[in-house]
Amino acid sequence: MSKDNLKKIEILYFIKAFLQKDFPRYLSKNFSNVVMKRIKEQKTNTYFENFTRLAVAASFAVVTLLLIKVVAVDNLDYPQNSVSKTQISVPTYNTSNQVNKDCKEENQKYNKECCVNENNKECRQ
Amino acid sequence: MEDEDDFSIVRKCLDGDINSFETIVKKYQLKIINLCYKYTKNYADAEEAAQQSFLRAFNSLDKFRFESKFYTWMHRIAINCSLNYINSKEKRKENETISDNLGLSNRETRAVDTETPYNNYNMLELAKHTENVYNSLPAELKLVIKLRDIEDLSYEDISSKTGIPIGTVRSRIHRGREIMMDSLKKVIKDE
Repeated sequence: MSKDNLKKIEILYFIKAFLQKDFPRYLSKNFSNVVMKRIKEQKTNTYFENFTRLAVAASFAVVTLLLIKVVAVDNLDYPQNSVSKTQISVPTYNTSNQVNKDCKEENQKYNKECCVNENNKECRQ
Repeated sequence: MEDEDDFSIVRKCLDGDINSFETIVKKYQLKIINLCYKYTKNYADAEEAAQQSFLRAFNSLDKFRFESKFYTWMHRIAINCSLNYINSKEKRKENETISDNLGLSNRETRAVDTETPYNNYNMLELAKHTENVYNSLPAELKLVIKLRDIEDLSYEDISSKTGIPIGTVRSRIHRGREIMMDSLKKVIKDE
């Protein structure tokens, strides 16, 4: 809107306010300019704040990436030679053999007892 | 001269046209300052509270739901801003008194009101001038101006109330306003 039109609107609303008797005793001549200046400053500050936030976030991301690269990767002491896979030998027990052995022994012992007493019913079965 | 309606101005602002908000400021500055004055009882404070009201209104435009008149919404914001302004001023005064009593005040030179009469419109004089021009208008123009600008009736209502065709109502309002605005413009230029 042109300055001329704005002035016309201002004067029209002066008249309306005067006729309705709803007006202050004084009005700064630059009241609307001050308001618009404050609005624009605020808007610029908001843009600046957003830009600063973005810049801080970006630089933080870059620094973090650099730190990860320098500290976490370069400082790890990898062996120069290829890694050899060592066999882990854990003592194992062949439990099935052990059970079989125990069973055989027990069985033999039992058979002997059976032979001693031929009348034993369980033995016959 | 017919002015743009508030809803379309608000929509323009929401679309990013900040400058169109100046029309809103020009339209309601007098009413809002006068409203703030009822709370602050001081014109400098009333202007400050009014500035804050316009700032807050601009920042909350996205919350305006286009259900009520824009001025009704603005009116509520101005009342809240005035009350906040009074409260913060009282708190400031309390703190100043406490620090004065404790001898802690650094005696900052307070901003003296540098506003000279040349920076202000003397609204009483302008109102008196406008009233004289209004009273000197021909009766047919005076009637439509009264119905439109004082009683805030629509063109249709004025037409049905007076029995004057709507086109004639429009042209009479236009003519009456032109006479008053030309006269007021001259006075403002001379100030």
